[in-house]
This record gives sequence, structure tokens and C-alpha cells, in this order.
Amino acid sequence: VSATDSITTVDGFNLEIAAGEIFGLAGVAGNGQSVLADAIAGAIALTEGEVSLDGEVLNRPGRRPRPDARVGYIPEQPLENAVAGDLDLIANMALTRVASLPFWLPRREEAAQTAVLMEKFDVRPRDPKRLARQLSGGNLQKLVIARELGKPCALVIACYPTMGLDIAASQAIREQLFRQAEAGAAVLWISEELDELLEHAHRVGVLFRGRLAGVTDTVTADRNEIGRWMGTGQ
Amino acid sequence: MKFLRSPFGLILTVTVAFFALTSGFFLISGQAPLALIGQMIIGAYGDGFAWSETLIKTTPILLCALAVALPARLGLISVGAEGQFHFGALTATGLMLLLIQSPAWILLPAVLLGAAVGGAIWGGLAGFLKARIGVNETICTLLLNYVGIALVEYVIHGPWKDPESANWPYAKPFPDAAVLPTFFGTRVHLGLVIGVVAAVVLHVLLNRTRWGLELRLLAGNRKAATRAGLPFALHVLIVMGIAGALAGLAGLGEASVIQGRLQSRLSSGFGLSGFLVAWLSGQDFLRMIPVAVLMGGLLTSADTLQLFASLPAASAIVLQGLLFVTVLAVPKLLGGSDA
Repeated sequence: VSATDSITTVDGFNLEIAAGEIFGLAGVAGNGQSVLADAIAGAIALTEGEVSLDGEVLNRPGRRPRPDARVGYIPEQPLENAVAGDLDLIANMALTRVASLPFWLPRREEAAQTAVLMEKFDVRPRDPKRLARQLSGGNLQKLVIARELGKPCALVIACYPTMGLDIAASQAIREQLFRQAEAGAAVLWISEELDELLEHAHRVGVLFRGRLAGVTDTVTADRNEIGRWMGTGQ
Repeated sequence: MKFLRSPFGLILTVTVAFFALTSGFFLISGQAPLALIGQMIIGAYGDGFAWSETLIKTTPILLCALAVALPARLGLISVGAEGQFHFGALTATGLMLLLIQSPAWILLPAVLLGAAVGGAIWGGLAGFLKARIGVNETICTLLLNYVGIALVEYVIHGPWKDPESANWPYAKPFPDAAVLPTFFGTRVHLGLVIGVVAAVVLHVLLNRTRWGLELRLLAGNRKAATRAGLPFALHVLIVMGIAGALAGLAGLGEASVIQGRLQSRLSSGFGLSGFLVAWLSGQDFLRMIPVAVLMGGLLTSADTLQLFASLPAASAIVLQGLLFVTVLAVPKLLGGSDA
């Protein structure tokens, strides 16, 4: 996979994640993590290469950004990348599946569905009419997770999902990732916290200047080696 | 303070502040404020004739306000209603001249369509530049206003100048078959109905349909919405086209019913008034209808100022400005939300 936004570039990245596997991608922030996540999720176009899921192409050069119903994508900084702060939670819940809605919005059903997902993912306060920017950081992240993981997923991409959140919210979010993996989804978990990844992922890789510097399984992982990958890419 | 921040309190405070500022303006001009304000209200809403004059001015203001508010709902700031108004009047006049011998059932739909398409082209041009290469829509629509007005000046001084106009810069008058229908023996015309219906339809579309949701999401967070696959460029073209069509129809109303032909000074600043109405009503299509009637009344009462107080016609623009400043500033000064 190769992709570029205005600042960072990911080039020659090659990775396969099995169904039910949690793959932790470590690395110092700014090495192309969010571009990579966007590229895999189909939120930006590739310049080269291909992303495929179960043998079906998800993203390739020239494809228009379009979310796939089987992909749950939690981008970094939800207020900036995943929600419209001035709109209510019902509208924000519909963001990634607007195209599948009928022309006349089923407003009552949408509100009811939002309320159900908010209950299931414990988004507080339980008021679908509230504006997204009125939620706390943790609840906003839970809202995005409710939207993205409240459906059956074959692939989950989580970019710094617990960054800046309190312990309880972080734990709740991690559990959602475990649940997805148990249900058979391939999970790509991007994080700066190596301990978190070593504890919860099956394999860990390091992204260095847009390339995969190395991959190891978490049982036999050597921290010194991972540290070297993170620092020098070798 | 709590009462002042409630919606009713805000309206009351804004009204009082506006009348206070207006009174100050009249005092500086050497007039008795209360008597003059009373005359203005009578001049705008005092009898049937006053109402008809107010509604005549309301029509283009409402249509131009919609032409500003619709792009605003996508997060675009268009100031191009004036240019779309003129280009719509121009293309409608062109079709009228082409089909001048035709019966009303051909001519009337043709000029309506001509005005809408002309306005849509002018609005769509700015939309295309925005969508394609990211040209700032505010600057673009502002400058296209001058081009639109200049094109009208060109055709009425040149190729379309009526040979029977005694050398005045006019196009041929609209024949009766091409004049929009008027109501109750006044000059209040079909444009008002189009404006009100368009406001209601847009309100429903924006709030009840997928299209409206897409606009709201794109306006709310364009980055997140485009990443979710919503086509920003396409929506820019659509809203700028519809906006232009509405302003173009306003131009047709003025050219065909009010002035009777394409000529200089077709618009008395309706684009600006429409912009003010759109922002005063917080881009809410339904709220725009009464606000446009108020603005129409304000412009109509400018005649009263000229007749009774010998103030220049530009006083109406001063009053518009005072109203705009009051509505924008008072709620902020009170620390409340929007009016």
C-alpha cells in the first residue's frame, strides 16, 4: 500500500491480518499512522497498491472515498475526523451510512436506533438530541465506536482509540475491540502505548517513516528489538 | 438578565435597541423620531396599497435571501444574489426577445425557465470554480456580481437596445404574454408565491431528507463527511445552481412586472437586502419569510422618509445597517445565544 496526504507518506507497506487476530501497530506518532489507517479504511485514495478484505478489493488507486459496511473505522481525534460537533447525535450516527438511507429520512427509526446503540455502548448522557460537541471526550469516542462497531464487522481499524481517555473509558473501549476479534473480525490497533499492545494484541508491528520496520508476535517479543525498530527502523 | 436572554426577551431587546439607534439617527438628521417612526410604519403597513408596495419589495428580497441561505447551509458564504438576479433577468429577456411573437403558454414558461437557468448558470459558475479548483466562493460571487450587472449594461446599451426607446438604454418591453401574473389588481406577482413555496420546500428538504442530512453533515464537518464518501463538489454545484435559479427568478419579476423591461438599476440592492435577511433569520428558511416582509417594509418606508422628512433614499440603507448591527451585536452583548 502507498498513500500520501499533504504531510506524511506511507510507502511499500505490506501486511496481512487474519480473521480474529488483533494486530498492534506501534511507532512514534507522525510516522504515517493516520494516513495508513485512512488508506486502509478507504477514507483517502491510494497512490499505489491495494487493500483487500476476504479477497475483495476495498481500496485501490482512483477509488472515491467510501466507507465499506463491513469495516469499522475509529480515526484519531473524533471531533476533528469522525463527527460534526454542531449536529445532534442522531445525525452523527448516520454519518457513515448516509448513502444507504432512503430519500425521506425515517426520523423516528433513526432516533430509536441511536438510543439503542447509546444504551449498548454506554454513551452518556442518553440524549440522542444532544449536540456531539456537548459530549465529553470519552463519550464522544464511545459514540464513534457505537457507530462503527455497532454492526457486524470483518475489519476494525482503531487509531489511538484510548488516547487521552480516563481508565474506565479506555477499558470499555478495549473490551469492544476484544469482542470484535472474538466475533471473527481482523483488528488493526494503532497505538503509541507499547505496553497496551504487547498485553492485548496477538502480533505487534512497528511503523517507521511509512514503512513496516518489523513484526513480532507478542509472546516472544523482545522489547529492545521493538525499541530499535521504533528508533531507527532497523 | 435571564428574561433578556430568553427568545422573547431577545426580540424585545433587539427591537428596543434598534428603535433607539434609529431615533438617534433621526435626531441627528433634525427630525422628531417618534412621529417619523410612526409615519414609517404607516407607510409600510398602514393600508392595502402600503402592504402591496411592501410585498412587491419583499418578493426579490425573499428570493435573494434564499439564494444566500441555501449555500450557507452547506457552509458556503455566497454574496452573489445580485449577479444571479441580473443574469437571470438577462437570459429571460433574451428568450423573450427570441420568442416575442409566441403565445403566453409558450412565452411565460420560457421566460421563467430562462431566468431560472440563467441564474443557475451564474451561481453554478462560482460553484464549479469552488468545487473544481477550490476558488473562494465569497470573492468569486462578489466579483461575478459586477460582471452580471456589466453584462446587462452592455446589452441594453448595445445589441438589445430598443430602437423605440428614444436612445435610452432599455431593452424592448416585455409583452403582456411574458409578464408574470399579478394578483388583486396590484403589482404583487407570481414571484412572491414562488419565494414562499421555495422557502417551505427547502425547509422540508433540508430537515426531512437524505439530501438535507448530507448538506448538514458536510457543513458540520466537511473533512469527516467527505471521508465518509459524501460528494462535496456535487453538492456545491447543486446548491449554487438552485440558489442562482431563485435569484434569477427575482430578476425576472423585477424586469417583467415592476420595470416592464431590462434596464439599468434593475435592483435596488436586493442582493444586499437578501443577504441581510438570510443572516438575520439565522439561515432558517421559514423565519426568512416574515423577516423579508419586515425588510420589504423598511425599504418601502424609505419613500415615507423622503416624502415627510426630506431625508435621502439612502436612509433606508442606513436603517438596514443599524438593524443588522443590532441583531448581531445585542445577543452577544447580553451573553446569550443567537436571536
